[in-house]
Amino acid sequence: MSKFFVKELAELEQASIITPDTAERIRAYYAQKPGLAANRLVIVFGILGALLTGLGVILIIAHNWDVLGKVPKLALALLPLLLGQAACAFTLIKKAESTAWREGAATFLFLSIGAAIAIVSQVYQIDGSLGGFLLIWMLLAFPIQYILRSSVASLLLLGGITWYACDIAYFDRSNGVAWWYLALLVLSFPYYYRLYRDHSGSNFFAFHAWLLPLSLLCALGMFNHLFSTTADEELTALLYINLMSLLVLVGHFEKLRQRRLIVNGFLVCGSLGTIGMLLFFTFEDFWESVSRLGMAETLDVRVAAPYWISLLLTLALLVYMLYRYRGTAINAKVSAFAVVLALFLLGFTQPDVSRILANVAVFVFGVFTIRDGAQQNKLSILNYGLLIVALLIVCRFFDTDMSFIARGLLFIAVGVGFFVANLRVLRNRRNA
Amino acid sequence: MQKTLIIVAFVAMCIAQWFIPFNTILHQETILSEGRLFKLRTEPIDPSDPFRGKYITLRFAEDEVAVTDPQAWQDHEYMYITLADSAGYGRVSRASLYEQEGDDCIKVRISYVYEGNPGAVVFEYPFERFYLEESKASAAERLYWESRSDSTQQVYAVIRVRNGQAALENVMINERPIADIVRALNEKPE
Repeated sequence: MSKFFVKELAELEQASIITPDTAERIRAYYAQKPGLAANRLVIVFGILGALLTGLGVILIIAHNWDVLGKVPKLALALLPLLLGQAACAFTLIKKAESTAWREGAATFLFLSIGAAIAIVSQVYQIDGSLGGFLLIWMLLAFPIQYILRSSVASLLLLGGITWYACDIAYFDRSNGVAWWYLALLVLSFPYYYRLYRDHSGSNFFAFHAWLLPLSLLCALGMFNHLFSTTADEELTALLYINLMSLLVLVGHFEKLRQRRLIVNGFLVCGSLGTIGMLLFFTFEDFWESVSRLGMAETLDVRVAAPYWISLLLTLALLVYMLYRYRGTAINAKVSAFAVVLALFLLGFTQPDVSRILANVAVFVFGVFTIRDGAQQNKLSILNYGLLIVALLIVCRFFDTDMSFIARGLLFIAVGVGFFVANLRVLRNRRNA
Repeated sequence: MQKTLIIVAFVAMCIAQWFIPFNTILHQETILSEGRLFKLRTEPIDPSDPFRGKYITLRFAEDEVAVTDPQAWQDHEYMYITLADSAGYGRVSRASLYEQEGDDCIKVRISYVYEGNPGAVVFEYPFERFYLEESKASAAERLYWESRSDSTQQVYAVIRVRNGQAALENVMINERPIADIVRALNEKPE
């Protein structure tokens, strides 16, 4: 970009658009500016190189060469580990300030640990579970993110522990809570905080801002094993709505809000998830099963402990955010967890009222979103609000006894709403 | 100061990363060299999906044990079986929910409990995969079909047991390691 710009300078100078003095100053500026783009490219290639070499080595060793005896096979399996550790030691001593070296060496070491464990298992025909294998790998690789200050190691760890949690909770006999997932996640928080504090403008930060909420969304369902079997689905749904509000709240942190919306995975996941969950609550089935439950035993503090803990966490963060960012507008969707709790308490005795109020809640959130879009002059948010209302209508299209005429009129009304709202925003922009 | 701390942490991490594979190797080598040998008949060798690597899955003939009180075995993940030698092959002589010692006991995973009278507990051995060289996988599959249709073929796994732990040593077809048979098949032009 800058090179192209510098080339254009001569033409601009000739056309007397800029003075020779200005042109010279621009040239001098670009000449002394550090090659940011080039540096970034070195980092990307460093990581890609380490990833591909690491995976390539794993694949070659996985061929399981029968011509080699046990000892050479094991030596070959452990060689990448030695190389990875040597690369990391060299980086720590000689290249500690080079991001490309730190990320590349960390990535290679991370993969070589997995290769070493896998191949030892292969040589000795050990038929361990995938969850156990992933856990040992992640425990051994956990310190890399801190020691080498490596974001790729942190992302790989996050991916690995999420896979482990899903394996324990959903795939492999699906009967456990992956406590190690929580432990390793909490122990990684200082790394995430440092990334937020010092590198909130980086791409690594953006990747974390997506992977972290997605990981929580995947893994949180593991707590349903702790709830009593009569109310596990209902309490898991409530747990998820708390998580959604929590994600929306985290998405309001200053440095996340400063980035483009597409970077703010917390807000996007939380907001979409809130609406998805609320739409789920507008169906009859959920409330019917709630009405069959007893309030006291369902919400018992011991039985529903994960739910109450998540509620307290969300509430505490909400209070903190309201205090910390006084005067800044907070997305209305953060209140979803409280709304749903109220509906749930009501649902034990009045399931129909709760269902109707859930519809109202989705509609109100849709309208608030449309208003936010109009106020911020952002078509994407405005249309998202309209989409929420349209989805609500589509859901009701299937399970109500409304006449075809009434349904048709509703659809036309929303369709006209789309046109009018978009036109108004576009006209406002033109007039501004 | 901080750099020293990082180096110390790094060295500790490296030691841990070596400790796990070495410990596994040592553990397995001890079982293989000192463990008691058993031959377990395997049912058809099932070549597995290519996504998870080139191995064959072993399905053992001795994979369930009759129990009189199936209820008691529900909700348990592991149990202990005692093997006894019967006509050259290992047979399950006893099953227990409590830890057993000795060079004939294996900790196995309960996969299913049949209720009824008498009931049965189906279990999985801790060694149901046999890794082969990649190029031999398809030949092993062919061999499997051939040996399955031929009832004179004896397919069995050689295992070693020591103090409740077991290790898979080899898979044999008629006293020959499967890898050797596959190698011979590959060398022979069709």
